[in-house]
Amino acid sequence: MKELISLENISLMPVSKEILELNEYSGEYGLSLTAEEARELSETRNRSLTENDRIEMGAGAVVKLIKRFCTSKYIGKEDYSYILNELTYLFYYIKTETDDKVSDGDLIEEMYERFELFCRGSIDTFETREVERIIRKINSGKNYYKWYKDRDELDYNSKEGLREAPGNVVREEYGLEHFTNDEELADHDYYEKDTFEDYEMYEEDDDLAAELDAFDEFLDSEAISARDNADVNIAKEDADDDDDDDECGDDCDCHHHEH
Amino acid sequence: MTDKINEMNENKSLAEIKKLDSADIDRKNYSSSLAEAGLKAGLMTEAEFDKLKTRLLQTLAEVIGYYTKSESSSVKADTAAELSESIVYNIDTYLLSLADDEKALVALREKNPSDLYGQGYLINKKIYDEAKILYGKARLSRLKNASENYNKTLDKYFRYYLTTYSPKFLAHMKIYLTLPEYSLSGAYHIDEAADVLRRICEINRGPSADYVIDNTHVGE
Repeated sequence: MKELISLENISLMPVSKEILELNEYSGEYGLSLTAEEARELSETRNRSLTENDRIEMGAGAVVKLIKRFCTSKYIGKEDYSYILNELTYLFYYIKTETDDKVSDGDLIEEMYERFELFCRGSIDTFETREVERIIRKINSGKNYYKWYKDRDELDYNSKEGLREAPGNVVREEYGLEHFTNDEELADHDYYEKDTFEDYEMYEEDDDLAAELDAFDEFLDSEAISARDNADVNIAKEDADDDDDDDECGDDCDCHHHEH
Repeated sequence: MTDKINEMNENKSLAEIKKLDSADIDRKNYSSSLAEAGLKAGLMTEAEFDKLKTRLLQTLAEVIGYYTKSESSSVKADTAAELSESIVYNIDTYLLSLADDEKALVALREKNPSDLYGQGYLINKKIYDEAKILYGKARLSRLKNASENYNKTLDKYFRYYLTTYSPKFLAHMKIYLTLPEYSLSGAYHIDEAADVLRRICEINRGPSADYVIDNTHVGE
């Protein structure tokens, strides 16, 4: 019986032609690939898809990766091909490890931001440190900050963390619009920007600090209150009774107090 | 002149029907076996068969797009296999609804697989909606003092099946049932599952059954 849909060789179709077509786009940033390099990148994509047990129709993610990373300030002509190969391989690895929880666009933005801001263009640092952090961030969702704050050195706000906070410097240099190119993020109508939480980490830290300060103040006031009152429970009961009295009107016929 | 052409066409059509051997066609694997039978009978060329496969891959790409909401260009191989099965099952559903092998083969050769998938999807969606209503009825009119298996089938297995089933992405999904006291045993597709539910409704209102309306299950 002949199979109508055979998935065996789909991903192994070369996409070097599509990759070469992007030379015009990346050429604006002074970067391009030779035919040999395009073929190598296509093979890396196929290898990664096979090893990560994935299927892809068309060039897909490689095109998005090229379009995003050719704007990097750290990638030069000499290492463009090498870095693209590494990033392509890692992209499918992360997709599988995170169980497809994140969209292509979101993941590429995350990779790009970390590559630029935290790795300063070092693909080795990206591979050895940031990849696992991205996976942890996506898989732990909104608990990321709580669970991995220390391990992933997330204390950006205090500027006293284990890692310096390069974000602001590079952000100022690049301009905010460099990182908020929605056209690059989405090419469809169904796109939802935040498929996983904690994207607003930088902005949230101020709120968190304010919240903690407020909580500390509350604890202090409680401690003072406890010290001043010899019997806190009695005081509280009295206060409750007072409250009840206040709530009831003159013609109230509640059973718990007399008129 | 027109009559003569019609007559010729009819004769030609009859000749083609004779060439398709129904013994070669497997109703459980309809599209694939029909295409093979068409190839064998010379009603479909190798080039047409290859074209059909290419267009089916395009349909798969389209359905992957629906599945990921175009947020991801790649999916896990297991997911792609499930989606492929769903596509073929929906196409089978539509072609079988034509109730004519020759017409089905013409549709397979000439129509876009994407359209065939869409037509099959509509049929299966209708059956799925019916199955959900039947499930509600079956749970309302349940047997008093029924076996544990019967209660599990209604409360657990069908519930899981109908909440997981998707006529778009899991059209081929089966429910595995064993109710020997009612001669029900095996794996059932959505249309057969709807028949099973119909049967259960019949059993529940049968003369020998302890028919009872149990409102406690309505809100679950």
